[in-house]
Amino acid sequence: MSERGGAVSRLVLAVALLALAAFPWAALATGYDFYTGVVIRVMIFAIAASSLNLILGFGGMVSFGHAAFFGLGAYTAAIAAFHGITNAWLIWVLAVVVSGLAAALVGAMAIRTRGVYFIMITMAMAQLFYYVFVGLRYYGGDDGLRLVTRPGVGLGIDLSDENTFFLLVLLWAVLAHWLLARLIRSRFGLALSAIRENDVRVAAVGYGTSQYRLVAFVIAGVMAGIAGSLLAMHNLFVSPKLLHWTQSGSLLIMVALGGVGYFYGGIVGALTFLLLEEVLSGTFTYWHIYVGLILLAVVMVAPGGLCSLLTGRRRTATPGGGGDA
Amino acid sequence: MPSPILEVTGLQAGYGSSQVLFGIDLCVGEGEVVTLLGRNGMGKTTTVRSIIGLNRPTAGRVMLRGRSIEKLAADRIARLGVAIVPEGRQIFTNLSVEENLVAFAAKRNGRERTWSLAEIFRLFPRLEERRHHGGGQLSGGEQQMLAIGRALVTNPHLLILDEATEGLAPLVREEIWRCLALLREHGLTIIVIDKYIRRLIGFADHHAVLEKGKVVWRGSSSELAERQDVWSRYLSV
Amino acid sequence: MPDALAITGLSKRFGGLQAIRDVSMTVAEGTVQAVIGPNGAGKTTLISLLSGRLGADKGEIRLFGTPVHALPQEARVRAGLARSFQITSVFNGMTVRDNLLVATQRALAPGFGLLRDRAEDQEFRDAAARVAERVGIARHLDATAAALPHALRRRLDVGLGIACRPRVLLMDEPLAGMGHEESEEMVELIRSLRSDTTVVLIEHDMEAVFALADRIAVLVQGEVIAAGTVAEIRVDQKVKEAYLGEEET
Repeated sequence: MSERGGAVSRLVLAVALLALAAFPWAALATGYDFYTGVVIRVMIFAIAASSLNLILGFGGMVSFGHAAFFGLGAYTAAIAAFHGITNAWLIWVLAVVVSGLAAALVGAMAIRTRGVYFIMITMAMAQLFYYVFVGLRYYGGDDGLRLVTRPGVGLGIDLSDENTFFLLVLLWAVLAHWLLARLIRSRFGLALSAIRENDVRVAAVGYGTSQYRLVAFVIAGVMAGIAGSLLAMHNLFVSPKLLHWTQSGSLLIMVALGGVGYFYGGIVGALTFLLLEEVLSGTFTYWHIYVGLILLAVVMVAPGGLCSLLTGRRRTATPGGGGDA
Repeated sequence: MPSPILEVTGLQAGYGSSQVLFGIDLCVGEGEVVTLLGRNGMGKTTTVRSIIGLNRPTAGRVMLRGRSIEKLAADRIARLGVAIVPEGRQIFTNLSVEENLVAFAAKRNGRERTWSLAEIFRLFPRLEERRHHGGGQLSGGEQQMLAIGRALVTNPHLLILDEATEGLAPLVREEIWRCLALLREHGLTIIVIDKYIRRLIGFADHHAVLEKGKVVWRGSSSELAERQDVWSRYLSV
Repeated sequence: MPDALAITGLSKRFGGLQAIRDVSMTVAEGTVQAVIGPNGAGKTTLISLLSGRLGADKGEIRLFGTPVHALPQEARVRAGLARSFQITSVFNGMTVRDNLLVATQRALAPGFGLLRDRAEDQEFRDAAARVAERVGIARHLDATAAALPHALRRRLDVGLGIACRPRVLLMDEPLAGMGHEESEEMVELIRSLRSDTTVVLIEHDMEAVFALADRIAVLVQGEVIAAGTVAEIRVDQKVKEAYLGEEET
């Protein structure tokens, strides 16, 4: 893309973000303020899906246990709140530490495997965490755990106001994706793409592929953990279901739907999936069937995901640009 | 010239974007024994794979008994009467010796002379001794015999042997050569890829030497016997 | 002055098969050492043992005197031992420029480089462009690797090896799948590499081997049966037997 093209897309992005920031008040004014909550959910899952896209689309790692880190982030927030911690900053630090350590642990075991074995190890480890929380009756077990109040950030900001919370989540979403963009554009990002393309060759030019994969895995896990903590703060409720492998499956569907390996794949996928869910469940009792059929149609028409329809070419190394300019 | 069983003209083939064969011509008459010679990487196995349908040629023709086969699937070509004893034998280890021989027996092609299980055992008494053993329990030489037997029971018009003596002890190699001579006497048409040049000269009718995907020399056994320069240039070092 | 590459007593077994048996070899700096041998000799296994993709059971490998046999592959590359592949192995979905950048950024910069924008690393991109020039694909820097014709992909494969700035380059059948003309061009390329690096060349194409090699080692069933100059190997009886089959009694 030319310099001008880059400037145009940056302008479009800025406008879009401003529009999004104004959404809650626009919704309130038009009586659609219910959807503020929906969009908050979309943004949270966009962070989680994009974090999966990092390791799946750019790193080529099919993780069937990504929800574990998402759920761990959520439970960190809920358990912290349970013990009286209402400082959101502290909760986020804890969420990073907990999900980071968990990702390091799972990653260390899974990273040397490939293909089906990688899928099975990630899935098994995630289920392990799921059953841990099911068994923790003290923190609600199967019934889940409530947060009495929404943790706050101080600074005179009242997060219990839905619109303010919306802006906080928007800020996190922008930060997460900015970080993702920087990663993808860095040397690390190129190495990760190379590992996905041909891991034999990349080792033969001097990369310790396991280390790179592990770093990516941990970064993705931390991102998912932050998203999970935000979900806990939004719903004021967590349950072990957040860690179940079917939740990992939903995340994978979002990424596949949006476009594996496309920078906006996680966002587009989360938006589409959750909107479909929202719209269809309002009309049909057995809405799952229709979601499934639509997904099938998308896969057949656009196997590269929805983003492939919009751009026609897969971005392997540089998002927002046609190649190294 | 006996009627041709196999005629290959202008064969070009490769793997993906890499071209290995740059125009191979080959003619094998009925009852003849023909060798494909050359160092490895020169295209011998690729030529064979193209003939039997495992590799689709990018250009050229392959005619089996007057019929064009270069576009046919491998199993069709096999049913038309081409059998291969592949490099590395590729025995079915989950079948017994007898099962390996019985599973692929066929009386197709309207041939008078057919290879029955009994005849295979007469050719290779050691296989009869081991008839109920699993394919994976055999020694290298026995596996080679089994691979040859397995090819014979399909009653082929054309038998192709790719490195049939590789990795075998000298005594076992002798047995294989003996049996190949017998097959020749039975009038079987054979293409052989192997490196034992003196043996091949004694056994085959004519030879084609491949280098970099082209036939660089062809001639009869007596001609090849006199051309030590061909040996040095294309076969050895 | 230590040898560029000194291999002593290298052995590797796979289950019941002794693939490499007590192989020893020395390669002087700035020379081309060819390794030839008939089918099933173990040449690819040897390259894997040298590059570090496989671990040897026994034996030592020294690169300019430094032992590397205990190092993992990536460490050997950083020490200066790189390779090219028999079956072209490049990053198909990436441009030629990015392909080479993967290698040059590794060779020139330690560390993960997590947040720094690649576009600021002009040094690595220049290095990549220079490698492309070296192997004759500079015109195709913006082409996707998958779209290149076979011969140019082979050159890119060699380029990836060179981009590692190796002191010793292991080349596994670089002429594989090439016709006559392309082979000649590749031979010229390899010849031009001698000024930059030491080459260990595995090949079947004897014309290329005779044109390029300073010394030849002949590998048969995992053992070195002969080693010497081109002239010595051409008249060696054991070598002839290995290729043509033994004399029967």
